[in-house]
Amino acid sequence: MERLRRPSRHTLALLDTLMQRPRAWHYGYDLSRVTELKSGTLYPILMRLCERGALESKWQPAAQEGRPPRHMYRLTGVGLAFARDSLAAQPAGRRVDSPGEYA
Amino acid sequence: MSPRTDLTNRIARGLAAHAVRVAAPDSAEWTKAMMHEQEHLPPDAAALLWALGCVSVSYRGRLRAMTRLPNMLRWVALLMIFVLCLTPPCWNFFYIALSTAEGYPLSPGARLMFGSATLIGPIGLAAALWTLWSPSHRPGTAFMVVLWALSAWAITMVRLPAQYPLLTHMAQAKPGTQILTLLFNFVFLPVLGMALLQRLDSRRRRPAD
Repeated sequence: MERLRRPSRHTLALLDTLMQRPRAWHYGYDLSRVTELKSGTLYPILMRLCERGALESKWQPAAQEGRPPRHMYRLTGVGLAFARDSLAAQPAGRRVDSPGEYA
Repeated sequence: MSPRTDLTNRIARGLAAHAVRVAAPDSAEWTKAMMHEQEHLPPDAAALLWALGCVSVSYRGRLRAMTRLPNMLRWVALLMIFVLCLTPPCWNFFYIALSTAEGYPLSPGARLMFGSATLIGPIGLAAALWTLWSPSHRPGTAFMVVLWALSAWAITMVRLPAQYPLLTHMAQAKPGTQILTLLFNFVFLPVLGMALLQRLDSRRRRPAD
C-alpha cells in the first residue's frame, strides 16, 4: 500500500463529496456529476486512492437486465481518517472545489 | 433515438472498447469499469466525453507501464526481435522471392525450399508487430508452433550438405566460407527472435505482470 500524500484540489473535491455520505457506495458517474470532474481526471484519482487503501471498490450487478455490472466505491476506515484530516487541514476560507451535492 | 445520438453513442462505445484493448494489464479492470459505467450514461455528448476520458486514462496507463524498467527491457527485447533477429531472414525471403529479377535465378524447387525456410522472417515480423501494436491480441500457441516448425525447417535446410552450393551461391561466396554466416542468419537469429517473442508473450500471460 502506498503512502497517502497531500491531496490535490481535485482529490479534495472528491473526498468532500464522498464525505457527504461516508459509509455509502458511490458510482463513478455520480461522483463525476457531483464533483464536475471529467472521467479522465476522476478515475486516476479513484485508482490512486484504491491503491493507497483509502477507497474500496466492488462490482455490482446492474439492476436492469442486459446492462453490464457497475463498479462502486466507498471510503475505508483509513480513507475516512485521511479525508477528515485532509479537509480539516484546509486553510480557513479556502474553498474545496466541490460544487455539487448529492440530491 | 435520433440518428445523430445513435452515431454519438456508437463512436463513444467504439472509443471505450479501444481504451479497454490498449489498457495496461494493471489498469485493465479500471478501464473496464469506466466502459461499463458509460453504458449507464445518457447516450449523448456526455457519453462521448466519458469515452474520451476512458481513452485518456488507458493511454496514460499504458505509457506509464511502458516507462517502468522491466517494460523498458521488454521494449529493448522487441527492438532486438525487429532489427536484429527477424530482419535478416525477412531480407533473405525477399531476396529469394526476387532472385530472378536480381539476376541470380534459382530453380522453382530451390526457391520453394528456401522461400519456405525463410518465411519465418516476414511471419515473425508480422507476429512481433502484432504483439507490439495490440497487446490483447497476442499470437496464440498454434501460431508459435508454426513459427517453431519454420525454424526447424530452416535448420534442416541449412544442415543439408547438398544445399551448400545453392546457399553459398545466394551469399555470393565460395562453398564453406559463408556457412557460419548463413547458419547465423537463417537459424540462430530467427530462433533467438522467436524465443524472445515467446518469452515476452509468456510473461504477459502471468497475472502478476
